[in-house]
Amino acid sequence: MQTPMNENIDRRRALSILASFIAGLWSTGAAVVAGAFVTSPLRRRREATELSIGRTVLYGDDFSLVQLDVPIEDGWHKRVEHLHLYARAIEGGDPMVFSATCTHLGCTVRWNPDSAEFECPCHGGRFSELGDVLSGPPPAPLKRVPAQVRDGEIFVQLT
Amino acid sequence: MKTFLDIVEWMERRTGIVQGAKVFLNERIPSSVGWRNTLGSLAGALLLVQILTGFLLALYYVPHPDAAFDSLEWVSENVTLGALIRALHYWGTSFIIVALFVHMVRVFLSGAYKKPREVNWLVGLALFAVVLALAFTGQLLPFNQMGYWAAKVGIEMGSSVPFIGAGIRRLFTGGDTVGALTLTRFYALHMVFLPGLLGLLVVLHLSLLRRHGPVRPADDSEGRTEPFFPLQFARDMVMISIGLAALCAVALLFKGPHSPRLDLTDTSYLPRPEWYFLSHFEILKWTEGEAQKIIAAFILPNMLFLALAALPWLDRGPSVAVRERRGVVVVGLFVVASIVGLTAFGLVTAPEQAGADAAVAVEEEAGDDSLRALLASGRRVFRELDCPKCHRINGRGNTTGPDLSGVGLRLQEDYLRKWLLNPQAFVHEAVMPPVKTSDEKFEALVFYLRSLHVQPEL
Repeated sequence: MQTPMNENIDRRRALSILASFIAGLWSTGAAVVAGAFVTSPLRRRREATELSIGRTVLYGDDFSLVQLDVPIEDGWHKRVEHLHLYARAIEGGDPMVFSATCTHLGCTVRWNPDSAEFECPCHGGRFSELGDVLSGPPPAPLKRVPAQVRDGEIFVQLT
Repeated sequence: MKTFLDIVEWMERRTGIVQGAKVFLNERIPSSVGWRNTLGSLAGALLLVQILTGFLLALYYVPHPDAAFDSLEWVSENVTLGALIRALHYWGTSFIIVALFVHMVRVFLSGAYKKPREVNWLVGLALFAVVLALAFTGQLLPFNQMGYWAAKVGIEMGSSVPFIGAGIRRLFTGGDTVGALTLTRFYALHMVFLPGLLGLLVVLHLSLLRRHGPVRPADDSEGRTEPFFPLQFARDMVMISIGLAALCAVALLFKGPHSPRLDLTDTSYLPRPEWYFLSHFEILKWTEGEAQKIIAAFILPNMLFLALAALPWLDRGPSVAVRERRGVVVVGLFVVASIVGLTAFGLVTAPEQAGADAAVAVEEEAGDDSLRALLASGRRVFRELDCPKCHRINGRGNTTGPDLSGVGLRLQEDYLRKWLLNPQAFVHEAVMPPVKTSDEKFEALVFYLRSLHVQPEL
C-alpha cells in the first residue's frame, strides 16, 4: 500500500519527466526547423545551363575566342558573368571548346596559331591544342567544356 | 553510460554546473503564485524564438534599399521553410507584446513593483521599451510600404519635439529623409545594439527576480513554499506550449508580412501602423494643430511611461492586496482599458487597404451601375490580356514593365490609347505587344487604366 508521502514523490517524478519531455520536444522542434532552414543550400543544386555559341560555320580549324554572357542567379542577386571560351569546329569532327582560364592562377590564355599552342601571358604556362600542359606552372590541363552540335549550331553545357 | 557519468562528474568537480542548476531549479517560491507567474516565462520563450528566427533571416537579409525586399522574398520562395521562418519572426513580435502587456498588468495587480522590487519594475519597463524599439526598427527592414511609412511617421513624431526636433530627425534618418542611411541605422540597432541591450536587461531582470523572489499573493495566508521544479516549471511549460502552438498556428495560417514593395508613386497606399501602435495612432487622429500634435505625439506617451516608472513611489503602502489600494488599481485599469479600447477601435475602424485594386474607390463613388460594370470588365480584360505578367498595380503583378499604379494620373487619355494600340510607335525597342482586342474590351481597358489614380478617402 502506498503512503501519501510515496504518492507525492511519484507525482513529482511523473511531473518532472513530463515537463522535461515538453521542454525537450519544443527544443527538438526548433532545432529541426532551424536545421532544415540552415541546410537549405545543400538541397539546391545549380542547374546546368546550355548556351549557344553560334553556328558551326563561324568556326574553323583555328581556335576563336568567344565571350559568353552567362546569366547567373546568385540567390536574390541576378547578374551576368562574362565567360571566355576557345572554340573550334573541324569539319566532320565534334566541336572542341576549352575554358580560356589558365589552370594555374586564372589568367586568360591566348591562342597562338603559329605554334598551335595556348600561352598564358602571366606566368608563361603553355598548353597544347588538346589542352594538355606542355610546360610551365599550370597543374592541370585546360578545362574542356562539353559541346554538341544541333541543327548546325554549337551548344555548350555549363555547370 | 558509465563514461557519460564520469564526464559529468569530471565537469561538475571543475565547474559546479550541476549544483548550480539544482540551486536554480530547487529555489523555493510561494506555493500560491501558480499560473499567474507563467507569463514572464512565456515572453522569455518567445524572445528565444525571435533570436533564433532573427539569426536565420540574417543569413540572407541585405540592408540595401534596392535589395532588402528581394532578399527576403527570395527567402520565402527558395529557402526550405523560409516563409515559415519569416512568418514566425513577424508574428512573434505581436505575441511578445501581448505576453509582456498581460505580464505587466499581472505584476501591477499583484503589487510586485513595491519595495524591495522597485528596480526590477524599472528593468521590466526598460525591457518593454526595448521590445517596442525592436519592433519599430524591424518593421523598416523589409523596406515595404508598411515599414517605410511606419519609420517615416515614427521619426516625424520624434521631430515634433520643440527646438531639437530637426536634430532628432536627422539623427534617426541619418540624412534628409528615410532611405538607405536610415535602413542601415535601423539594421544596426535591430541586429546588434538592441538585442545586446535586451539580453543584458533579461539577465538583470532574472537575477533581481531571484534576489527577492516572486511576491507572495495577498490572498495567500498559509505562507507555504515549494521548489520551482517540477510543479512551477511544468506550469511554465504548459503556458509556453500554448503560446508557441498559437504562434505556429498563426504563422502557418496568415503567413509573413503582406505589405507590398515600397512604391512612393502609389498614392493609394494607406499608411497604417502595426496593431500595437494603433492606440497611439487613434489619439493622433483626434488632435488639431501644432500644440496638440506635440502633446499627443511626444508628451503623452512619455508621460505614461514616466508615470509607470514612478509607480513604486506613487503607491507606497506596504500592502499588495488590491482592495487596500483601490485608487491606484482603478486608475491603472482605466489606462489598460483605454489602451485596449483604442486598439480595438483602431482595428474595427481600419479602412480596407486598397492593395490589389485602387479602382475599388471609383467603383463605390461611381454609384452608376453601368460605370461599375465597365470598370469590372476593364479589370477582367487587363487580366485576360496577361498584362499582370509584366505590369504591377499596387503590389500585384510582375515588374518587367512599368508599374501602373496611379497611371491614370500620369498619362493623358489620348496618349494612353495610342500607346496601347502601338507601343513601338513611341519607343522603337518597346517589348510590349500592341493590344489587340475588340473595341468594346479596349474601351473597358482604357476606362480601367484611367481609373487607377483615385486616392481612397482617408
